[in-house]
Amino acid sequence: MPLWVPVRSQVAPAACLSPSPEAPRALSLFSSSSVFPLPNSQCLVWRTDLLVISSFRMAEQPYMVASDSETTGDDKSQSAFHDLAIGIEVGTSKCSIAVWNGAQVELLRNTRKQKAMRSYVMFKDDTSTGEVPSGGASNKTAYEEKEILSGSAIFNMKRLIGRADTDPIVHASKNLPFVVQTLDIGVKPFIAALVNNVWRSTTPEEVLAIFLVELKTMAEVQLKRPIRNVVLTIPVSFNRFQQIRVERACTMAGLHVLRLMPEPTAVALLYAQQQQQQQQSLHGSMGSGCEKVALIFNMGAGYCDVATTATAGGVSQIKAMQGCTLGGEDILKNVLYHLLPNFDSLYSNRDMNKIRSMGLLRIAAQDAIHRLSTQSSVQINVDLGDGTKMQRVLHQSEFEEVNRNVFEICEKLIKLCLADSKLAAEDINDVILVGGCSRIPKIRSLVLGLCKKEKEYEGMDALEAAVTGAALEGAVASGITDPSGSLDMLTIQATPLSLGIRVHGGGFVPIIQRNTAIPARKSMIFTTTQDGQTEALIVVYEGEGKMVEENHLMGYFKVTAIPLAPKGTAEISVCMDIDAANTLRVFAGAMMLGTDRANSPFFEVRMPTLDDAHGWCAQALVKTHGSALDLTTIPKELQPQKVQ
Amino acid sequence: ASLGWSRKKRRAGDSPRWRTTPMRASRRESPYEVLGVSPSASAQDIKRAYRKLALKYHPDVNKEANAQEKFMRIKHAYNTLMNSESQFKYGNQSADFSRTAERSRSAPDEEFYGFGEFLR
Repeated sequence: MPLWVPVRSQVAPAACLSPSPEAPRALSLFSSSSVFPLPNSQCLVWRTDLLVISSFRMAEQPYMVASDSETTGDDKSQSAFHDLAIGIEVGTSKCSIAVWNGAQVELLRNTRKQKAMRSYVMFKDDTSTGEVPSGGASNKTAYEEKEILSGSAIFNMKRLIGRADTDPIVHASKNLPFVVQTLDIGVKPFIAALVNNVWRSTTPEEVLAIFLVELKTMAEVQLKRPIRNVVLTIPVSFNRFQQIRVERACTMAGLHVLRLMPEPTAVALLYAQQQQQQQQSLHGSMGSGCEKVALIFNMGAGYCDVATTATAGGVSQIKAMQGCTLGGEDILKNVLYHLLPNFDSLYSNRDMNKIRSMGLLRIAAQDAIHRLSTQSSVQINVDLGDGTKMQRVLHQSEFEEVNRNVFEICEKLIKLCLADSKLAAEDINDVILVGGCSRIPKIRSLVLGLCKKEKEYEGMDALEAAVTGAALEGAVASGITDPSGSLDMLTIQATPLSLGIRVHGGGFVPIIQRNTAIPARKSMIFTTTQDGQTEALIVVYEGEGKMVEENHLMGYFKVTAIPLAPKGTAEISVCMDIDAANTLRVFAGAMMLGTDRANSPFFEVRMPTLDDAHGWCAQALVKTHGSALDLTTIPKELQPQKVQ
Repeated sequence: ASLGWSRKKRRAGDSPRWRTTPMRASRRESPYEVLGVSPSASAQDIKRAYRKLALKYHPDVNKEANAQEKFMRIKHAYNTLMNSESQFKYGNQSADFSRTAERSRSAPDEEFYGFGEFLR
């Protein structure tokens, strides 16, 4: 994996070099494991800023550890309470932190007493502290939504992170107040925030890292201990590239990712705990065998996830997962275009007035959508500031009509998930609805209807379930035990996407199928496509497409020392391994002819090995090597497991 | 005892076991033995045993180096039994493991290629 070179971001330089006498003090505070003195609130403001700086200076060190070594976190985690991992959910719109406090999970609040904090980072020139951006978790002044939409703040990081500029989601983000530029060549998009009337560039990872530093600082001050380990929730549909970007942002913020947990699986863990407690109070016995099957539907501002889980005795086994990039942002966009059909042409020119009026319209539309959850029609009155006023009524039926495509996709996801888990609606005991969009009446009725249920599962806060589950996983995976048994539980994860390799002709052959329980290890035998072929390219992809170009290229390497033989006779073994921390390793090598022994040492490659521009790599490989190094499958009945 | 390739072992310079025998399991062990249930156990019993062992050996809760290998073996035994169980449920009258297992092995569900011994 290529080493990451810390970006000389606008976060650090000016202030790092500043001769401020407080800087070294803050640094030593930060790096030592000593308990933070709880400062008075006035003091906190500058200290928070300095902590941001110091952690960025330190960003290099922790990253080297994460990148170079093979440690997955399991080796490092000890049962000591001070290492307890906290749970973080960074949502597209809101974010929250939770921690196991020794008896139960507790959500932390910021100084404005909020448990759900707005996810954004404000870039502003501040003469006293240099150029320190601040986010929604900050102890500083709360920014109003109007200011967040002024172009100076970056938000929706979760929709942008780990995507190339050819991605339709990135293109759809161009109507946000800050700048998203694409050149459509398969590299990182250019994003920029408005500072002093200049568009200043940044990256989604950097923005996420700044935000995480604030969350970390907030948690450290409240918990009076340094925070290092985290369990972070992610959408089901995040591919390994997106996961790596999130991990990288955490490392930049000085955090070590113990687990990245798909959001519905975090909810499943909380469900497992609730079921366990309920059964214990009913029967007074541990692990009684009554299995319950739940469908979890999670839809927030950015993503929609569906998962099914079978739970008994505190163990939740994920049966299947489906997810896609679909959420409140898409609903909002549909409503905006409905209210203002010429939205694009109106806002193609990005002057300050246009940005301001676009922001006002966004706020009004968002507010209308929220109110439509309880009203059948809403009045929209908004002065867009540029002489235009919008006054109209939006009916629920209209709202449902313009969002028909959204509801159709939700329906498809649920059906796919049920089919994957081989479950019928009748097999489901509970339907759990979480995430902000699960409050939309049409979505509730749709999910409940497909599951043939009258009522949804009660006893879970739709906005807190995922982060609570993440904090539980943090406690379990940190090795914390609870005498009352309330931590004797587990989620057995599954892989949301298939993993496999390219074969001759550009087909994708999955080796580990989606929804395989992890940890998992599988292998397959492939063979050569040329007479006397001594080398073969192993090109690894993740996804569900039948052809490789529909999937994500994870990396590639060459297997050498294939014994000389006619095509179709040499055997090349490819083994994939996913450990409990979800690290993927691929082992491959050639066998001696007619034996089950290796011809020479195998290769072991941790994936992904690629960074940006992976679409280019696949094209370049084909251009340079044609089909000379191609592999192909062997008939199923010749796969060794059949032979034994 | 050979426990396959745990990371520690490979670091210590042992030859990786998967290299030579990843897909050709050495010895067929009884999945009933691995899960500690009797061959007459019901699906309920099998599930319960699997969950109990998962709580003990899943690498999230068990920090020993070989927890992963142990858990994968448990998982494999469970999947094998549940596969033959569902075939039984759907009309296959043979509850005999050794015959149903041959069939389930060709199913693309949860295959596993064993390594040495454990849970003796």
